[in-house]
Amino acid sequence: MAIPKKALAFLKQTGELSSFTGRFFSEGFRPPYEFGEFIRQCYLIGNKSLPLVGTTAFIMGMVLTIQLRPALISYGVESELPFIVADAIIREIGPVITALIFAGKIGSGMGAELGSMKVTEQIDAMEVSGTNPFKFLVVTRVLAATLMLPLLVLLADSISIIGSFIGLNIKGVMSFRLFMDDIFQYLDFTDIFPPLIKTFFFGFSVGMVGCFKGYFSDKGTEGVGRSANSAVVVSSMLIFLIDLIAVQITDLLGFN
Amino acid sequence: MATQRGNSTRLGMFVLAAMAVLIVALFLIGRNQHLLGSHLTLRAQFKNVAGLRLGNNVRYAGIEVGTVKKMQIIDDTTLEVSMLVNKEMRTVIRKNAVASLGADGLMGNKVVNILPQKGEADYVQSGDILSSRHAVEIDDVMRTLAGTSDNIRDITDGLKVTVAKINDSEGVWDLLSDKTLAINIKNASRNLDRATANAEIMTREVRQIVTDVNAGKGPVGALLKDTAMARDLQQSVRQLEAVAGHADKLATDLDAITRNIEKDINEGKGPVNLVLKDTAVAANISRTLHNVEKGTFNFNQNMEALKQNFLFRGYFRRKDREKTRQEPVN
Repeated sequence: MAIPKKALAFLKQTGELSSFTGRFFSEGFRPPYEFGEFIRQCYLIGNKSLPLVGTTAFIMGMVLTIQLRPALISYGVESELPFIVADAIIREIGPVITALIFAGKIGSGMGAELGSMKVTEQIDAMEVSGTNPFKFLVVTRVLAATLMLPLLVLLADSISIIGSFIGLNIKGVMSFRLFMDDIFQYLDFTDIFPPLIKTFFFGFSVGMVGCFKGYFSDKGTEGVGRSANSAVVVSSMLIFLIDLIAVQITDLLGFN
Repeated sequence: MATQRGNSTRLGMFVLAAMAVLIVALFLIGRNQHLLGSHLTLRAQFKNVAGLRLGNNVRYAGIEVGTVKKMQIIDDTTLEVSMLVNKEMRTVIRKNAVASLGADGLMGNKVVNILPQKGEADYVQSGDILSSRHAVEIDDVMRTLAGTSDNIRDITDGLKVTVAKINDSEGVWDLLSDKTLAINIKNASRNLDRATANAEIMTREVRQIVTDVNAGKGPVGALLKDTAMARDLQQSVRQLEAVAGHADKLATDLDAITRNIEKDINEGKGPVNLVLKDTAVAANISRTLHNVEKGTFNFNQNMEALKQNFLFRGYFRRKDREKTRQEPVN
Protein backbone atom coordinates (compact mmCIF):
# COMPACT_ATOMS: atom_id res chain seq x y z
CA MET A 1 0.00 0.00 0.00
CA ALA A 2 1.56 3.14 -1.21
CA ILE A 3 1.14 6.08 1.07
CA PRO A 4 0.54 9.30 -0.87
CA LYS A 5 3.46 11.67 -0.95
CA LYS A 6 1.57 14.49 0.72
CA ALA A 7 0.45 12.28 3.55
CA LEU A 8 4.01 11.17 4.03
CA ALA A 9 5.15 14.76 4.15
CA PHE A 10 2.44 15.54 6.68
CA LEU A 11 3.46 12.63 8.88
CA LYS A 12 7.08 13.67 8.61
CA GLN A 13 6.23 17.21 9.61
CA THR A 14 4.20 16.01 12.55
CA GLY A 15 6.98 13.79 13.75
CA GLU A 16 9.54 16.55 13.41
CA LEU A 17 7.33 19.01 15.24
CA SER A 18 6.83 16.49 18.03
CA SER A 19 10.54 15.86 18.43
CA PHE A 20 11.11 19.61 18.29
CA THR A 21 8.63 20.01 21.12
CA GLY A 22 10.36 17.24 23.03
CA ARG A 23 13.63 19.04 22.54
CA PHE A 24 12.08 22.20 23.94
CA PHE A 25 11.15 20.38 27.11
CA SER A 26 14.47 18.59 27.43
CA GLU A 27 16.63 21.65 26.80
CA GLY A 28 14.41 24.50 27.90
CA PHE A 29 14.52 23.84 31.60
CA ARG A 30 18.20 23.23 31.88
CA PRO A 31 20.64 26.03 32.67
CA PRO A 32 22.03 28.29 31.46
CA TYR A 33 18.87 30.38 31.08
CA GLU A 34 18.67 33.19 28.54
CA PHE A 35 16.75 35.46 30.89
CA GLY A 36 17.46 38.79 29.24
CA GLU A 37 16.42 37.52 25.85
CA PHE A 38 13.29 36.03 27.38
CA ILE A 39 12.28 39.39 28.83
CA ARG A 40 12.99 41.08 25.50
CA GLN A 41 10.85 38.54 23.70
CA CYS A 42 8.10 38.98 26.25
CA TYR A 43 8.14 42.69 25.57
CA LEU A 44 8.12 42.19 21.82
CA ILE A 45 5.45 39.54 21.87
CA GLY A 46 3.27 40.89 24.64
CA ASN A 47 3.45 44.68 24.65
CA LYS A 48 3.83 45.07 20.92
CA SER A 49 0.78 42.91 20.24
CA LEU A 50 -1.46 44.74 22.67
CA PRO A 51 -2.59 47.59 20.38
CA LEU A 52 -3.61 45.20 17.63
CA VAL A 53 -5.24 42.72 19.98
CA GLY A 54 -6.92 45.49 21.96
CA THR A 55 -8.42 47.11 18.87
CA THR A 56 -9.79 43.87 17.49
CA ALA A 57 -11.14 42.87 20.90
CA PHE A 58 -12.85 46.22 21.35
CA ILE A 59 -14.49 46.00 17.95
CA MET A 60 -15.42 42.39 18.55
CA GLY A 61 -17.21 43.14 21.81
CA MET A 62 -19.05 46.10 20.38
CA VAL A 63 -20.11 44.37 17.18
CA LEU A 64 -21.18 41.23 18.98
CA THR A 65 -23.37 43.26 21.33
CA ILE A 66 -24.99 45.24 18.55
CA GLN A 67 -25.59 42.10 16.51
CA LEU A 68 -27.01 40.04 19.37
CA ARG A 69 -29.26 42.76 20.69
CA PRO A 70 -32.19 42.41 18.24
CA ALA A 71 -32.35 38.64 18.74
CA LEU A 72 -32.37 38.99 22.51
CA ILE A 73 -34.98 41.72 22.34
CA SER A 74 -37.20 39.43 20.29
CA TYR A 75 -36.89 36.84 23.06
CA GLY A 76 -37.54 39.48 25.70
CA VAL A 77 -34.23 38.93 27.50
CA GLU A 78 -32.44 42.14 26.63
CA SER A 79 -31.42 42.47 30.26
CA GLU A 80 -29.29 39.34 29.89
CA LEU A 81 -27.32 40.87 27.02
CA PRO A 82 -24.28 41.92 29.10
CA PHE A 83 -23.84 38.49 30.58
CA ILE A 84 -24.39 36.65 27.32
CA VAL A 85 -21.85 38.79 25.49
CA ALA A 86 -19.35 38.69 28.33
CA ASP A 87 -19.66 34.94 28.71
CA ALA A 88 -19.21 34.41 24.98
CA ILE A 89 -16.17 36.67 24.98
CA ILE A 90 -14.56 35.15 28.05
CA ARG A 91 -15.24 31.55 27.17
CA GLU A 92 -14.58 31.48 23.44
CA ILE A 93 -14.32 34.59 21.37
CA GLY A 94 -11.67 36.35 23.43
CA PRO A 95 -9.22 33.44 23.58
CA VAL A 96 -9.72 32.23 20.01
CA ILE A 97 -9.77 35.57 18.23
CA THR A 98 -6.82 36.81 20.24
CA ALA A 99 -4.90 33.60 19.56
CA LEU A 100 -5.61 33.81 15.84
CA ILE A 101 -4.41 37.39 15.65
CA PHE A 102 -1.47 36.40 17.78
CA ALA A 103 -0.70 33.57 15.36
CA GLY A 104 -0.96 35.98 12.46
CA LYS A 105 1.35 38.51 14.04
CA ILE A 106 3.75 36.54 16.22
CA GLY A 107 3.72 33.12 14.51
CA SER A 108 4.49 34.56 11.11
CA GLY A 109 7.06 36.90 12.63
CA MET A 110 8.86 34.01 14.28
CA GLY A 111 8.76 31.93 11.11
CA ALA A 112 10.15 34.76 9.04
CA GLU A 113 12.77 35.85 11.59
CA LEU A 114 14.13 32.42 12.34
CA GLY A 115 13.79 31.43 8.70
CA SER A 116 15.90 34.32 7.52
CA MET A 117 18.43 33.61 10.27
CA LYS A 118 18.56 30.06 9.10
CA VAL A 119 18.93 31.11 5.47
CA THR A 120 21.68 33.58 6.25
CA GLU A 121 23.32 30.91 8.40
CA GLN A 122 23.24 33.03 11.55
CA ILE A 123 21.99 30.02 13.48
CA ASP A 124 25.00 28.00 12.44
CA ALA A 125 27.24 30.92 13.33
CA MET A 126 25.64 31.09 16.75
CA GLU A 127 26.37 27.43 17.30
CA VAL A 128 29.99 28.01 16.37
CA SER A 129 30.26 30.96 18.74
CA GLY A 130 29.22 28.76 21.64
CA THR A 131 25.67 30.00 22.17
CA ASN A 132 23.02 27.36 22.07
CA PRO A 133 20.75 28.69 19.32
CA PHE A 134 17.85 26.51 20.38
CA LYS A 135 17.93 27.89 23.90
CA PHE A 136 18.54 31.45 22.80
CA LEU A 137 16.07 31.59 19.94
CA VAL A 138 13.45 28.92 20.42
CA VAL A 139 13.02 28.43 24.16
CA THR A 140 12.80 32.15 24.92
CA ARG A 141 10.28 32.76 22.15
CA VAL A 142 8.09 29.79 22.97
CA LEU A 143 8.06 30.57 26.68
CA ALA A 144 7.33 34.22 25.99
CA ALA A 145 4.48 33.30 23.65
CA THR A 146 3.10 30.79 26.16
CA LEU A 147 3.09 33.28 29.00
CA MET A 148 2.11 36.40 27.08
CA LEU A 149 -0.93 35.11 25.22
CA PRO A 150 -2.98 34.46 28.41
CA LEU A 151 -2.20 37.97 29.60
CA LEU A 152 -3.15 39.37 26.23
CA VAL A 153 -6.40 37.41 26.37
CA LEU A 154 -7.22 38.75 29.83
CA LEU A 155 -6.68 42.31 28.65
CA ALA A 156 -8.53 41.63 25.41
CA ASP A 157 -11.49 40.23 27.37
CA SER A 158 -11.75 43.32 29.51
CA ILE A 159 -11.38 45.62 26.50
CA SER A 160 -14.06 43.58 24.72
CA ILE A 161 -16.42 43.99 27.65
CA ILE A 162 -15.85 47.74 27.60
CA GLY A 163 -16.55 47.63 23.86
CA SER A 164 -19.71 45.73 24.60
CA PHE A 165 -20.76 48.34 27.13
CA ILE A 166 -20.25 51.09 24.57
CA GLY A 167 -22.09 49.07 21.94
CA LEU A 168 -24.97 48.60 24.34
CA ASN A 169 -25.11 52.31 25.04
CA ILE A 170 -25.09 53.20 21.36
CA LYS A 171 -28.42 51.43 20.98
CA GLY A 172 -29.87 51.64 24.45
CA VAL A 173 -29.08 52.94 27.89
CA MET A 174 -27.50 51.01 30.72
CA SER A 175 -25.37 52.20 33.58
CA PHE A 176 -21.88 50.76 33.89
CA ARG A 177 -22.64 49.62 37.40
CA LEU A 178 -25.68 47.64 36.32
CA PHE A 179 -23.78 46.31 33.33
CA MET A 180 -20.99 44.94 35.51
CA ASP A 181 -23.45 43.64 38.09
CA ASP A 182 -25.32 41.79 35.35
CA ILE A 183 -22.12 40.16 34.18
CA PHE A 184 -20.77 39.16 37.54
CA GLN A 185 -24.09 38.02 38.90
CA TYR A 186 -23.91 34.90 36.77
CA LEU A 187 -20.19 34.65 36.00
CA ASP A 188 -18.55 31.70 37.66
CA PHE A 189 -15.00 30.53 38.19
CA THR A 190 -15.69 27.83 35.63
CA ASP A 191 -16.27 30.60 33.10
CA ILE A 192 -12.81 32.04 33.74
CA PHE A 193 -10.38 29.20 34.35
CA PRO A 194 -10.87 26.71 31.48
CA PRO A 195 -10.48 29.44 28.83
CA LEU A 196 -7.50 30.87 30.67
CA ILE A 197 -5.80 27.48 30.78
CA LYS A 198 -6.38 26.79 27.13
CA THR A 199 -4.80 30.09 26.15
CA PHE A 200 -1.48 28.79 27.54
CA PHE A 201 -1.73 25.94 25.06
CA PHE A 202 -2.69 28.35 22.28
CA GLY A 203 0.36 30.47 23.00
CA PHE A 204 2.62 27.46 23.30
CA SER A 205 1.46 26.01 19.99
CA VAL A 206 1.82 29.35 18.18
CA GLY A 207 5.36 29.80 19.50
CA MET A 208 6.28 26.20 18.88
CA VAL A 209 4.99 26.09 15.31
CA GLY A 210 6.45 29.49 14.45
CA CYS A 211 9.88 28.53 15.71
CA PHE A 212 9.73 25.11 14.16
CA LYS A 213 8.82 26.47 10.74
CA GLY A 214 11.53 29.08 10.94
CA TYR A 215 14.17 26.79 12.42
CA PHE A 216 13.76 24.27 9.64
CA SER A 217 13.17 26.77 6.88
CA ASP A 218 14.07 25.83 3.34
CA LYS A 219 16.92 27.61 1.76
CA GLY A 220 16.28 30.81 -0.17
CA THR A 221 13.96 33.77 0.16
CA GLU A 222 11.10 31.65 -1.00
CA GLY A 223 11.67 29.28 1.92
CA VAL A 224 11.44 32.13 4.39
CA GLY A 225 8.11 33.24 2.95
CA ARG A 226 6.81 29.73 2.96
CA SER A 227 7.81 29.08 6.55
CA ALA A 228 6.19 32.33 7.65
CA ASN A 229 3.02 31.41 5.79
CA SER A 230 2.81 27.84 6.98
CA ALA A 231 3.56 28.91 10.56
CA VAL A 232 0.35 30.97 10.52
CA VAL A 233 -1.72 28.29 8.80
CA VAL A 234 -0.59 25.43 11.01
CA SER A 235 -0.79 27.33 14.27
CA SER A 236 -4.27 28.65 13.40
CA MET A 237 -5.33 25.10 12.67
CA LEU A 238 -3.78 23.93 15.92
CA ILE A 239 -5.61 26.63 17.86
CA PHE A 240 -8.94 25.25 16.70
CA LEU A 241 -7.88 21.68 17.37
CA ILE A 242 -6.80 22.58 20.88
CA ASP A 243 -10.06 24.48 21.33
CA LEU A 244 -11.97 21.38 20.32
CA ILE A 245 -10.03 19.21 22.74
CA ALA A 246 -10.33 21.79 25.51
CA VAL A 247 -14.10 21.99 25.22
CA GLN A 248 -14.32 18.20 25.43
CA ILE A 249 -12.19 18.13 28.54
CA THR A 250 -14.06 20.92 30.29
CA ASP A 251 -17.30 19.21 29.38
CA LEU A 252 -16.05 15.93 30.79
CA LEU A 253 -15.02 17.67 33.99
CA GLY A 254 -18.44 19.30 34.19
CA PHE A 255 -17.27 22.89 33.88
CA ASN A 256 -19.55 23.86 31.02
CA MET B 1 20.61 49.23 27.81
CA ALA B 2 18.33 52.13 28.62
CA THR B 3 15.77 51.02 26.08
CA GLN B 4 16.10 47.51 27.45
CA ARG B 5 15.14 48.80 30.89
CA GLY B 6 12.34 50.92 29.45
CA ASN B 7 11.02 47.93 27.64
CA SER B 8 11.17 45.89 30.81
CA THR B 9 9.17 48.52 32.63
CA ARG B 10 6.56 48.50 29.94
CA LEU B 11 6.48 44.73 30.01
CA GLY B 12 6.01 44.89 33.77
CA MET B 13 3.08 47.26 33.33
CA PHE B 14 1.58 44.96 30.74
CA VAL B 15 1.89 41.91 32.96
CA LEU B 16 0.59 43.72 36.03
CA ALA B 17 -2.37 45.12 34.12
CA ALA B 18 -3.34 41.67 32.88
CA MET B 19 -2.91 40.15 36.32
CA ALA B 20 -4.96 42.96 37.84
CA VAL B 21 -7.79 42.21 35.42
CA LEU B 22 -7.68 38.56 36.41
CA ILE B 23 -7.57 39.30 40.12
CA VAL B 24 -10.40 41.82 39.95
CA ALA B 25 -12.54 39.39 37.97
CA LEU B 26 -11.86 36.58 40.41
CA PHE B 27 -12.59 38.86 43.34
CA LEU B 28 -15.88 40.00 41.82
CA ILE B 29 -16.95 36.44 41.16
CA GLY B 30 -15.84 35.34 44.58
CA ARG B 31 -17.66 38.18 46.26
CA ASN B 32 -20.77 37.27 44.34
CA GLN B 33 -20.53 33.69 45.50
CA HIS B 34 -19.75 34.80 49.04
CA LEU B 35 -16.65 32.67 49.14
CA LEU B 36 -14.54 35.58 50.30
CA GLY B 37 -15.10 37.59 53.42
CA SER B 38 -16.71 36.42 56.61
CA HIS B 39 -20.19 35.03 56.74
CA LEU B 40 -22.48 32.93 58.82
CA THR B 41 -24.07 29.61 57.99
CA LEU B 42 -27.81 29.21 58.27
CA ARG B 43 -29.68 26.00 57.68
CA ALA B 44 -33.22 25.17 56.69
CA GLN B 45 -34.98 21.87 56.13
CA PHE B 46 -37.30 21.20 53.24
CA LYS B 47 -39.26 18.23 51.96
CA ASN B 48 -38.48 19.12 48.38
CA VAL B 49 -36.01 21.67 47.10
CA ALA B 50 -37.57 21.79 43.62
CA GLY B 51 -34.36 21.98 41.64
CA LEU B 52 -32.38 24.27 43.94
CA ARG B 53 -28.70 24.14 43.08
CA LEU B 54 -25.49 24.90 44.86
CA GLY B 55 -24.63 28.56 44.47
CA ASN B 56 -28.25 29.67 44.05
CA ASN B 57 -28.96 32.98 45.67
CA VAL B 58 -30.32 33.50 49.15
CA ARG B 59 -32.45 36.58 49.59
CA TYR B 60 -33.59 38.34 52.69
CA ALA B 61 -36.68 40.41 52.00
CA GLY B 62 -35.69 40.42 48.33
CA ILE B 63 -32.06 41.49 48.77
CA GLU B 64 -29.31 39.05 47.93
CA VAL B 65 -27.48 38.20 51.09
CA GLY B 66 -25.83 34.87 50.34
CA THR B 67 -25.71 31.64 48.43
CA VAL B 68 -26.62 28.01 48.88
CA LYS B 69 -23.50 26.21 50.06
CA LYS B 70 -24.57 22.66 50.68
CA MET B 71 -27.56 20.41 50.28
CA GLN B 72 -27.78 17.26 52.30
CA ILE B 73 -30.32 14.48 52.40
CA ILE B 74 -31.14 13.89 56.06
CA ASP B 75 -33.74 11.18 55.54
CA ASP B 76 -36.30 10.15 52.96
CA THR B 77 -38.48 13.22 53.52
CA THR B 78 -36.03 15.82 54.74
CA LEU B 79 -33.40 17.79 52.89
CA GLU B 80 -31.16 20.21 54.67
CA VAL B 81 -29.96 23.30 52.82
CA SER B 82 -26.97 25.14 54.22
CA MET B 83 -26.64 28.76 53.22
CA LEU B 84 -23.73 31.15 53.46
CA VAL B 85 -25.08 34.53 54.50
CA ASN B 86 -23.24 37.83 54.87
CA LYS B 87 -21.96 38.54 58.32
CA GLU B 88 -23.79 41.88 58.42
CA MET B 89 -27.03 39.91 58.46
CA ARG B 90 -26.16 38.75 61.97
CA THR B 91 -27.86 41.84 63.31
CA VAL B 92 -30.76 41.71 60.86
CA ILE B 93 -32.11 38.18 60.59
CA ARG B 94 -33.95 36.91 63.63
CA LYS B 95 -34.43 33.36 64.77
CA ASN B 96 -38.09 33.31 63.87
CA ALA B 97 -37.42 34.16 60.20
CA VAL B 98 -38.86 31.67 57.74
CA ALA B 99 -37.00 30.21 54.76
CA SER B 100 -38.97 29.39 51.67
CA LEU B 101 -38.11 28.41 48.13
CA GLY B 102 -38.94 30.71 45.29
CA ALA B 103 -38.04 31.29 41.70
CA ASP B 104 -36.37 34.21 39.98
CA GLY B 105 -39.20 34.81 37.59
CA LEU B 106 -41.35 32.06 36.13
CA MET B 107 -38.56 30.10 34.48
CA GLY B 108 -35.58 31.54 36.31
CA ASN B 109 -33.20 30.13 38.86
CA LYS B 110 -34.47 28.96 42.20
CA VAL B 111 -33.79 31.15 45.19
CA VAL B 112 -34.13 30.72 48.92
CA ASN B 113 -36.14 33.55 50.41
CA ILE B 114 -35.63 34.31 54.07
CA LEU B 115 -38.67 36.21 55.25
CA PRO B 116 -38.87 38.17 58.50
CA GLN B 117 -41.82 37.38 60.74
CA LYS B 118 -43.77 39.33 63.31
CA GLY B 119 -42.92 38.97 66.95
CA GLU B 120 -39.83 39.23 69.07
CA ALA B 121 -36.91 36.89 68.67
CA ASP B 122 -33.15 36.91 69.12
CA TYR B 123 -30.79 37.46 66.24
CA VAL B 124 -29.56 34.36 64.43
CA GLN B 125 -26.24 32.76 65.11
CA SER B 126 -24.15 30.70 62.77
CA GLY B 127 -25.51 27.18 62.40
CA ASP B 128 -29.09 28.01 63.34
CA ILE B 129 -31.88 26.11 61.64
CA LEU B 130 -34.60 28.38 60.32
CA SER B 131 -38.13 27.10 60.03
CA SER B 132 -39.17 26.55 56.45
CA ARG B 133 -42.32 27.02 54.56
CA HIS B 134 -43.56 25.05 51.60
CA ALA B 135 -43.47 27.36 48.65
CA VAL B 136 -45.91 27.50 45.80
CA GLU B 137 -44.50 25.41 43.02
CA ILE B 138 -45.25 25.54 39.37
CA ASP B 139 -46.60 21.99 39.63
CA ASP B 140 -49.15 23.07 42.20
CA VAL B 141 -50.12 26.03 40.08
CA MET B 142 -50.50 23.73 37.09
CA ARG B 143 -52.64 21.33 39.09
CA THR B 144 -54.92 24.16 40.16
CA LEU B 145 -55.03 25.40 36.59
CA ALA B 146 -56.03 21.93 35.41
CA GLY B 147 -58.99 21.98 37.79
CA THR B 148 -59.86 25.47 36.65
CA SER B 149 -59.75 24.49 33.01
CA ASP B 150 -62.04 21.52 33.75
CA ASN B 151 -64.50 23.92 35.31
CA ILE B 152 -64.19 26.26 32.36
CA ARG B 153 -64.97 23.36 30.05
CA ASP B 154 -68.11 22.55 32.03
CA ILE B 155 -69.12 26.20 31.98
CA THR B 156 -68.57 26.53 28.25
CA ASP B 157 -70.52 23.32 27.67
CA GLY B 158 -73.42 24.80 29.61
CA LEU B 159 -73.04 28.08 27.77
CA LYS B 160 -73.16 26.25 24.46
CA VAL B 161 -76.46 24.63 25.37
CA THR B 162 -77.83 27.93 26.66
CA VAL B 163 -76.82 29.79 23.51
CA ALA B 164 -78.31 27.04 21.36
CA LYS B 165 -81.57 27.33 23.29
CA ILE B 166 -81.58 31.09 22.89
CA ASN B 167 -80.90 30.70 19.18
CA ASP B 168 -83.73 28.22 18.78
CA SER B 169 -86.20 30.21 20.82
CA GLU B 170 -88.41 32.39 18.63
CA GLY B 171 -89.76 34.31 21.57
CA VAL B 172 -86.40 35.81 22.39
CA TRP B 173 -85.82 36.81 18.78
CA ASP B 174 -89.30 38.29 18.55
CA LEU B 175 -88.55 40.21 21.69
CA LEU B 176 -85.24 41.37 20.31
CA SER B 177 -86.55 42.32 16.88
CA ASP B 178 -89.72 43.99 18.20
CA LYS B 179 -89.40 47.66 17.34
CA THR B 180 -92.44 48.76 19.32
CA LEU B 181 -90.93 47.20 22.39
CA ALA B 182 -87.94 49.41 21.99
CA ILE B 183 -90.16 52.43 21.55
CA ASN B 184 -92.19 51.43 24.58
CA ILE B 185 -89.08 51.00 26.61
CA LYS B 186 -87.91 54.35 25.41
CA ASN B 187 -91.24 55.92 26.37
CA ALA B 188 -91.19 54.13 29.67
CA SER B 189 -87.76 55.39 30.40
CA ARG B 190 -88.84 58.87 29.39
CA ASN B 191 -91.79 58.62 31.76
CA LEU B 192 -89.52 57.31 34.41
CA ASP B 193 -87.29 60.25 33.76
CA ARG B 194 -90.20 62.61 34.15
CA ALA B 195 -91.36 60.77 37.25
CA THR B 196 -87.96 61.12 38.79
CA ALA B 197 -88.00 64.79 37.92
CA ASN B 198 -91.37 65.12 39.62
CA ALA B 199 -90.13 63.11 42.54
CA GLU B 200 -87.27 65.47 42.79
CA ILE B 201 -89.53 68.47 42.77
CA MET B 202 -91.72 66.75 45.31
CA THR B 203 -88.87 65.99 47.61
CA ARG B 204 -87.71 69.54 47.24
CA GLU B 205 -91.14 70.75 48.26
CA VAL B 206 -91.31 68.30 51.11
CA ARG B 207 -87.96 69.54 52.20
CA GLN B 208 -89.28 73.08 51.99
CA ILE B 209 -92.26 72.07 54.06
CA VAL B 210 -90.08 70.39 56.60
CA THR B 211 -87.91 73.46 56.70
CA ASP B 212 -91.01 75.65 57.19
CA VAL B 213 -92.34 73.34 59.85
CA ASN B 214 -89.04 73.45 61.57
CA ALA B 215 -89.11 77.20 61.32
CA GLY B 216 -92.61 77.17 62.84
CA LYS B 217 -94.38 78.51 59.72
CA GLY B 218 -97.96 77.45 58.76
CA PRO B 219 -100.52 75.57 60.84
CA VAL B 220 -98.50 72.41 61.22
CA GLY B 221 -95.51 74.45 62.12
CA ALA B 222 -97.59 76.32 64.61
CA LEU B 223 -98.93 73.04 65.89
CA LEU B 224 -95.51 71.66 66.34
CA LYS B 225 -93.57 74.73 67.25
CA ASP B 226 -95.94 77.32 68.78
CA THR B 227 -95.59 77.06 72.53
CA ALA B 228 -98.61 79.29 73.26
CA MET B 229 -100.82 77.07 71.19
CA ALA B 230 -99.44 74.06 72.93
CA ARG B 231 -100.40 75.61 76.19
CA ASP B 232 -103.94 76.26 74.86
CA LEU B 233 -104.16 72.74 73.61
CA GLN B 234 -103.07 71.50 76.96
CA GLN B 235 -105.80 73.51 78.60
CA SER B 236 -108.39 72.24 76.15
CA VAL B 237 -107.37 68.73 76.87
CA ARG B 238 -107.64 69.40 80.54
CA GLN B 239 -111.16 70.78 80.02
CA LEU B 240 -112.05 67.81 77.91
CA GLU B 241 -110.87 65.69 80.75
CA ALA B 242 -113.21 67.57 83.11
CA VAL B 243 -116.12 67.16 80.69
CA ALA B 244 -115.41 63.52 80.46
CA GLY B 245 -115.49 63.41 84.24
CA HIS B 246 -118.95 65.02 84.22
CA ALA B 247 -120.13 62.62 81.55
CA ASP B 248 -118.95 59.81 83.67
CA LYS B 249 -120.97 61.08 86.58
CA LEU B 250 -124.01 61.45 84.36
CA ALA B 251 -123.68 57.94 83.18
CA THR B 252 -123.44 56.76 86.78
CA ASP B 253 -126.61 58.66 87.65
CA LEU B 254 -128.44 57.22 84.66
CA ASP B 255 -127.31 53.85 85.67
CA ALA B 256 -128.69 54.38 89.16
CA ILE B 257 -132.03 55.56 87.73
CA THR B 258 -132.40 52.58 85.44
CA ARG B 259 -131.44 50.31 88.29
CA ASN B 260 -134.22 51.91 90.41
CA ILE B 261 -136.74 51.50 87.62
CA GLU B 262 -135.76 47.90 87.19
CA LYS B 263 -136.14 47.40 90.91
CA ASP B 264 -139.58 49.06 90.86
CA ILE B 265 -140.67 46.86 88.01
CA ASN B 266 -139.56 43.75 89.72
CA GLU B 267 -141.12 44.79 93.04
CA GLY B 268 -144.41 45.85 91.37
CA LYS B 269 -144.15 49.50 92.20
CA GLY B 270 -144.79 52.62 90.11
CA PRO B 271 -146.77 53.27 86.89
CA VAL B 272 -144.46 51.36 84.56
CA ASN B 273 -144.94 48.24 86.56
CA LEU B 274 -148.68 48.90 86.47
CA VAL B 275 -148.56 48.89 82.68
CA LEU B 276 -146.23 45.93 82.29
CA LYS B 277 -147.16 43.62 85.12
CA ASP B 278 -150.81 44.23 86.31
CA THR B 279 -153.21 41.75 84.55
CA ALA B 280 -156.35 43.67 85.60
CA VAL B 281 -155.08 46.75 83.80
CA ALA B 282 -154.33 44.62 80.78
CA ALA B 283 -157.93 43.29 80.74
CA ASN B 284 -159.21 46.84 80.94
CA ILE B 285 -157.09 47.96 78.06
CA SER B 286 -158.20 44.97 76.05
CA ARG B 287 -161.86 45.80 76.70
CA THR B 288 -161.32 49.42 75.79
CA LEU B 289 -159.68 48.40 72.52
CA HIS B 290 -162.67 46.11 71.78
CA ASN B 291 -165.02 48.98 72.34
CA VAL B 292 -162.99 51.20 70.10
CA GLU B 293 -163.10 48.50 67.38
CA LYS B 294 -166.87 48.25 67.69
CA GLY B 295 -167.19 52.04 67.59
CA THR B 296 -165.17 52.31 64.36
CA PHE B 297 -167.27 49.52 62.70
CA ASN B 298 -170.40 51.46 63.47
CA PHE B 299 -168.77 54.61 62.19
CA ASN B 300 -167.93 52.78 58.94
CA GLN B 301 -171.59 51.78 58.49
CA ASN B 302 -172.64 55.33 59.14
CA MET B 303 -170.24 56.51 56.46
CA GLU B 304 -171.61 53.96 53.87
CA ALA B 305 -175.08 55.16 54.59
CA LEU B 306 -173.87 58.70 54.15
CA LYS B 307 -172.44 57.83 50.68
CA GLN B 308 -175.88 56.54 49.62
CA ASN B 309 -177.53 59.68 50.84
CA PHE B 310 -178.66 61.98 47.96
CA LEU B 311 -177.06 64.92 49.59
CA PHE B 312 -173.60 63.50 49.40
CA ARG B 313 -174.02 61.06 46.43
CA GLY B 314 -172.96 63.72 43.86
CA TYR B 315 -169.70 64.36 45.64
CA PHE B 316 -168.73 60.67 45.76
CA ARG B 317 -169.65 60.14 42.08
CA ARG B 318 -167.46 63.07 41.01
CA LYS B 319 -164.64 61.59 43.01
CA ASP B 320 -165.03 58.21 41.17
CA ARG B 321 -165.00 59.90 37.76
CA GLU B 322 -161.79 61.74 38.51
CA LYS B 323 -160.25 58.47 39.54
CA THR B 324 -161.26 56.66 36.26
CA ARG B 325 -160.03 59.67 34.18
CA GLN B 326 -156.60 59.42 35.64
CA GLU B 327 -156.26 55.63 35.21
CA PRO B 328 -156.04 55.33 31.29
CA VAL B 329 -153.39 58.01 31.25
CA ASN B 330 -151.27 55.82 33.50
